[in-house]
Amino acid sequence: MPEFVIQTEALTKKFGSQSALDQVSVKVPPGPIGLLGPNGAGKSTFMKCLLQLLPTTSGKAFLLDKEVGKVGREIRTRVGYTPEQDCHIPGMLGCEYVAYCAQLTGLPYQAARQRSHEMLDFVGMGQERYRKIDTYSTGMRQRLKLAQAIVHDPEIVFLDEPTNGLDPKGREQILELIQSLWTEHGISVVLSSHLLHDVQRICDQIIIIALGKVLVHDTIADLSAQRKGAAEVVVASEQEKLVTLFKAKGWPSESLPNGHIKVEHAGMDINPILEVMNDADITPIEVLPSPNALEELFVQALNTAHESVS
Amino acid sequence: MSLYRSAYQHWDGEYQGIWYRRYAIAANGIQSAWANKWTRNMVMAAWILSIVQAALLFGIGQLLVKDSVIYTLVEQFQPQFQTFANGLMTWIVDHPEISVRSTYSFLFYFFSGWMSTLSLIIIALIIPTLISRDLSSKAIIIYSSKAVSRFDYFLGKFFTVFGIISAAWLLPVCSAWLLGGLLAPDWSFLWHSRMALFKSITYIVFASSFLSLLAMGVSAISVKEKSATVIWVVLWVLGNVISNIGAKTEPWIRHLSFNYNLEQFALKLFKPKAELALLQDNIPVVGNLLRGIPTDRFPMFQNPQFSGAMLTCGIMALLAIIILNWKVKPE
Repeated sequence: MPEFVIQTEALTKKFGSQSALDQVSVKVPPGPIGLLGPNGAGKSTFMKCLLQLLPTTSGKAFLLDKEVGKVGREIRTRVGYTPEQDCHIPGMLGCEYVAYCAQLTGLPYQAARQRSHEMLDFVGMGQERYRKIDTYSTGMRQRLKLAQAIVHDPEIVFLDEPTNGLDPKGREQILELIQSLWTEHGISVVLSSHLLHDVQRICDQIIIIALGKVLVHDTIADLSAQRKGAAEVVVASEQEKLVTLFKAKGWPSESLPNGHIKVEHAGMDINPILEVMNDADITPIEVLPSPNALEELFVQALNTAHESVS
Repeated sequence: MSLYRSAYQHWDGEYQGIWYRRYAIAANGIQSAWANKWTRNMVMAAWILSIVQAALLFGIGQLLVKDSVIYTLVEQFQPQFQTFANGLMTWIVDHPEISVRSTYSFLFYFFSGWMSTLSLIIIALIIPTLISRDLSSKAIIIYSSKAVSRFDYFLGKFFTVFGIISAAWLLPVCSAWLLGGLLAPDWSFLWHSRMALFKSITYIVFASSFLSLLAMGVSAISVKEKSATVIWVVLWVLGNVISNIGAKTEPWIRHLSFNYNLEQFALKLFKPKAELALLQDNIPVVGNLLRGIPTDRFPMFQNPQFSGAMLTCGIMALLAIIILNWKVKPE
């Protein structure tokens, strides 16, 4: 396994005058990586450029130490991909389809058939594999897409919104499977999602993208540890009195439209807040720690995208 | 949902080469096409036609056997023809290089017309599953994400059409030739008819390659499967209509029909006019009768417009490649 599974240097992709990727430079070590950002941020474009499904406008990209664009199809024997949209071949049975995908990557016929069944077992598909794909539910199709992406045993797998359209139970199962790819089998995962929960659930590292730019690239652990030292306090009454008390302590605070009080006390511990409230004989209903940096950055990405639209 | 989740296992075997992956695409395409019962029926019709051809070749062979059914019949109904038949037989035996070659050439030429029509129908049936389906279902993205390039994909699809046309045209023709030769009174027929077979194979390989490329181009035009069939049939029928109009007005217009262009290639290859002249000059008595054929009335005895046909075929093939390059993309 190379030191970095993905490396990009000022990678740019333009559609006409609009930049879908703008000078993206990242170095991603092996492991589960989350690509997070709102819809239209450039996550899928980033993946497609790495997979050579889209030509890049400028910059360089390396996938598994091979320069994208200079190596051809052979690199794809080491890479798996589940696109966001449905893209099965109509009329085929589920097991036929996965076996065919294995053959397209070079697995011999017998091995392709055997492995397709193993992968369908792995993703939790039973007898429905003998049905035509056209009759599959969204959940089955997502599982099938995952099976075809890993049937040839790739070193890295790109998953574009793999939990779209799934119910909560199905989503948990798929996330568990994806997580096991790295933790149990050493397959690096690039998970593109607009859902923070999915990424937090299984990824070690995160790249937040908005408007084609990388806002942050760090480990989840680091980002989660970076708290701003703020909290939201929920009280039944005496909100104004509490704001005054906080301000008297030198902590910037304000009443939020939802009735909560936001206070920046510059510390990770919420005990000082509780002490102030105890002294004033105000009973808290709830004290919420401040959102961590990851959440804030994600919100920032959403806001950036929102502002550009409006 | 299965009752258990099996463990993932790494694959430690060897990956097959690129020709295997191209073969996989072609084999899958043929399998999809074969699933259509009408395609199967048309291929069956082509094989029936080849049996008819073999039967005719057998009949021609019987002219060489003095006590064959044909002579018995001739003798029974027209005793005065017996002398003539004996003379003809002697000539045929003495000049197999002319008699067998020319007869086989004519027969293979005629059957190539029928077979090509059947092939055009088969293409109309398989064209939706060729590329249109992959575009409409976005399966093209899956192909692009696997270890096959666009060129490999095209090659696989090309061999899909080529394979089916071969099953419906090339193999029946070869079988008819073999069967005709084996049933002939003298196996030297196989040798003397070799040029007819060679011309047939050349024609079929050229026509199949050209039609495969054209079919791929048409299939890539539309993402709607039925539209692809309609476009193919319209091009075929419209081409024939324009070709007929062109025959009376502007001759170059005839080249807009791919069918007409293939016909010109067949004329150049089988040379029915030259073969007829050979028979006219050499067969005793019958040769004089053949001189009575009004050759100017039959298009098959006209000089082929070979250069124009090849040029137009080249342009059509180029257009198909441009369409493929333009339309078949993962995004």
